[in-house]
Amino acid sequence: MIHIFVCKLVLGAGLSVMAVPAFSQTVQQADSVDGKEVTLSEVTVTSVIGAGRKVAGKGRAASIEEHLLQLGNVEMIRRGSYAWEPVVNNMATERVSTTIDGMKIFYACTDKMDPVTSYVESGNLQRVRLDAGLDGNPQATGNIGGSIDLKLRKAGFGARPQEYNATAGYESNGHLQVYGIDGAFSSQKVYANMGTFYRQAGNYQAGGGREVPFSQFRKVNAFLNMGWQPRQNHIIEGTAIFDRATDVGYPALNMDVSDATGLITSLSYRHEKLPGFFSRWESKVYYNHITHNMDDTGRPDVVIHMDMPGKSSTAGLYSILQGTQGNHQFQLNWDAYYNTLFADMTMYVKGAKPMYMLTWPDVGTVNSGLALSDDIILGARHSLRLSAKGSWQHRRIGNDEGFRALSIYFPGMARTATDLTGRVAVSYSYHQGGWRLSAGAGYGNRTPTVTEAYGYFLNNTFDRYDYIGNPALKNESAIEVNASASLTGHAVEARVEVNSFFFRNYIIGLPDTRLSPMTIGAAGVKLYRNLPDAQIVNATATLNWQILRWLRWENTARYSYGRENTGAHLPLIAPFSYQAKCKVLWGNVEAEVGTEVVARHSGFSEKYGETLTPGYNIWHINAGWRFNLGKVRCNLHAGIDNLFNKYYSTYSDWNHIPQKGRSIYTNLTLQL
Amino acid sequence: MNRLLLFLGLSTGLLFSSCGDDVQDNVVINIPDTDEECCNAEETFLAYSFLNNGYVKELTELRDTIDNKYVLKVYSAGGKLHVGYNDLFFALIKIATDGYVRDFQVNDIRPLMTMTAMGMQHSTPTETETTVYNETFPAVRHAWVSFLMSSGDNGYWELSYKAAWQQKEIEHTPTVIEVNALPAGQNWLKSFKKDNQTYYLTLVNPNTFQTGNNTIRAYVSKQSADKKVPYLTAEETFTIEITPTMPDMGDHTSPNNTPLIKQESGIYEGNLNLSMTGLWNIHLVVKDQEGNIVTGGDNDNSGYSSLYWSVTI
Repeated sequence: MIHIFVCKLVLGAGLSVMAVPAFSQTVQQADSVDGKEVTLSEVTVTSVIGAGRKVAGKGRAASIEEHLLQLGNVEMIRRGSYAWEPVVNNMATERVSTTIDGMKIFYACTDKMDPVTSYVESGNLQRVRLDAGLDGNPQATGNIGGSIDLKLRKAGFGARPQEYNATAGYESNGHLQVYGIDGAFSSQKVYANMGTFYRQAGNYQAGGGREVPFSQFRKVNAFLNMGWQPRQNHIIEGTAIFDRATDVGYPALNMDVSDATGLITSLSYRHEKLPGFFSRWESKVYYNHITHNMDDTGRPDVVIHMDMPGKSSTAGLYSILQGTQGNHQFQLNWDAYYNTLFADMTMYVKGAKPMYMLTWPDVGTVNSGLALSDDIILGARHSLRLSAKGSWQHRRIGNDEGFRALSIYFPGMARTATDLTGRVAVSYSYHQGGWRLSAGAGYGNRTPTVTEAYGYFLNNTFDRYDYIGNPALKNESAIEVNASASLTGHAVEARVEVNSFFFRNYIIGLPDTRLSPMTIGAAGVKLYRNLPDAQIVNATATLNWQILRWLRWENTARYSYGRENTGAHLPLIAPFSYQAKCKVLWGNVEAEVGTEVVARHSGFSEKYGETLTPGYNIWHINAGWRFNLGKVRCNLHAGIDNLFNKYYSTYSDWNHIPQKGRSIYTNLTLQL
Repeated sequence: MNRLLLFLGLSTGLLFSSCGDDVQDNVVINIPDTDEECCNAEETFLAYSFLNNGYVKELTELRDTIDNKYVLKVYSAGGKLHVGYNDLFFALIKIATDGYVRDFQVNDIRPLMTMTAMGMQHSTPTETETTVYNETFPAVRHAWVSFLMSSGDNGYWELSYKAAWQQKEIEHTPTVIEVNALPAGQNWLKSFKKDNQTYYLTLVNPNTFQTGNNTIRAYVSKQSADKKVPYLTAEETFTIEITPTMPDMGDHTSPNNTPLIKQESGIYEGNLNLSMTGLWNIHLVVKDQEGNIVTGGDNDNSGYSSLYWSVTI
């Protein structure tokens, strides 16, 4: 789909990893199949200088969220300095699918303190793929805003027999430290790569020097990928990731997290170069489990101490067939998963029996879907892409007590829900000379999330309401239209892109004055409701100018708009922003200076509890140097974020917690 | 077969007994088919199961015998009594056969508190006549007593009753019973005054309450002119509006509660929603048949009626 920005972040230690012959072949094959008629926005977040691509200064020392922010259309909801929630096309988790190598995974915290991207580490990943809008990756469901697929970094067959990487990074603000080592071993028959990462930070300081309490975190991560090719083109692969964050502070919330642990595993079989209609077949089974424990023991003035653990486990499989015939490139994917979400809350009052409730009543979800896509080259200048997915879903509340509690609010409610959802998208592209024009349309719907359907007194510190899910919600649907035009000249690339989403039955929480809040000090209770309609529009313009062979100037401006049926603004819609960067790439040295200007958030949503965020302007600067020490290839980076130590917060900083003040960082990557 | 053997317990017990090893370890109830005084096998089984399930235990101080042939046993939850509503269960057992007798009567149940320091005596809300507790096992009869206060230094409780079986009547003379205080977070008995008459609001056993929707039951009793006579349920009809709140959670309340309405049997019934476990205050507004507020119209600092029961689930 044309507008669909397949944005990629190559997170490997550089092109050398990408260039692993057998593996890169598979990668490219996969890419060419979902290669869409696209403007490929590829961001190499590598530590290797001079890779000829856009380079982010922090390299692998950057967090996943920082990598994601490199992508167009992505913003972050920030509740602290850890585990930010990605927002795509101004839509957050509910409307965005996140998968890890096609595996479904669901967060375990009722307060969204652990978006699933927080359970992986930059070093686990090769790249991140974002499909904006309804034309999602084949395993995605419910992706109205977009779908993110985190591609794991695998050594592949026939790569360098041995390779070792070590990374160390330090950031002055908050004393953030990052350490990572990994090793890869490869032959034609077998490969394995494994590594471990450690990340730790204390409280950071906002612009002007004020310390932001409860913004610390600590995280360990270990991964193992193994592959075995018993016969040519028959490949068995296994993956395991263990990730554990402890002592994570959330300055925007009333509680912190004592530990958040994820275990992600998969086993797959792949057959390459099949004869006949389909040329590639991959099947994967997977299981992941997340446990999440909130903790308020470190906070002063806790009226009632609470335990709020959550658990999420998902078992699933998918099987994908890909092929090329004539001018068609197609794929067919079947996927199924079973997920359970359980969360409860125990409140301890001195001298009385603890109060207990289930906040997610052990909800089991079975979902199975069939996805098809076809890229058709209609002629030298025309191309078309079609994609569709249909899914069946069945949900059941597993816990009696949770069901009885929800029944208070919805007498006679059903304990199960069965839904059929789907999406279709079509896009057309025309190109001539340096011009490329594209237009697309799509329709899709999604079931309510477990929180939206069955959440029970989930306190939202943003608008200070307790939220109750609504089992009677209708599915939300959206029509998407998009168009883009781009001109690529000798030294200049210009591009304009607009997409619009027209929602029916838009799901959002609305106050119900009949109900009494549970959280002390809460403003009231909101029930999730369907709004008759809502609309989100996003527009992006970019202008990149290669002024000199070694000097490049990049500009991006973004504007978004979101309103619901009464004309009120939707919450969490980004204000106008402009980014500019000047990049220098000279031999083994790279450097960048850039600025971000964000307008006053005048379109804030008063109705949904937002308050005005003032505009701001920040600058950053960084430089990198590549050199060799004997056989060891070294990449050294240094930079300063928020150069002028500006005090500011973005529209999506929960409760306006301030962003980091000036931060000086440096990192070193060694590769042998 | 002229004898019906009823084995209660696990089948392993049956095996042991048939081996003759340890017969007395097994519960064997021999019931003559011809004994028309007693229940049939199924009724006996159900009555036995109910009285021996560990939930109810005998109040041995209230045991009595009729004609030295029958023993009358009185049971309560855990074999204990406490302030507020208590279920009392009565069973008449034929000593010769261990069979449960049906159609016996227990009436004139009289609890009496003697307040030693003040030299006063008073009774308490009581159902003085027993009824069959459950039609499937008519051998167990039921009544209730809602104690106003606990036994203690200030006074002691006694209980007497009359029982009748086949023209034989006995009177169980007042026996001292121990009435315990309810644990903190439980308060099931409240009173109010109307036209100088004192009424008592007894919340029927809320131990079965759980998160979600509950049927809430209560009795309204009227203080007797002679306070030593048990307080019977009031003939007047009231409506009792309820609002449950959690005092520890900023008076969080729940929706869709329905008032307690008087049923044919005299008990009041309504719907109570409890959205989580913990301490709940059930605030009461009592209205007469014309809809006038009798009591509970005042608001305490929570904004709800100052008249409330407390339960902790």
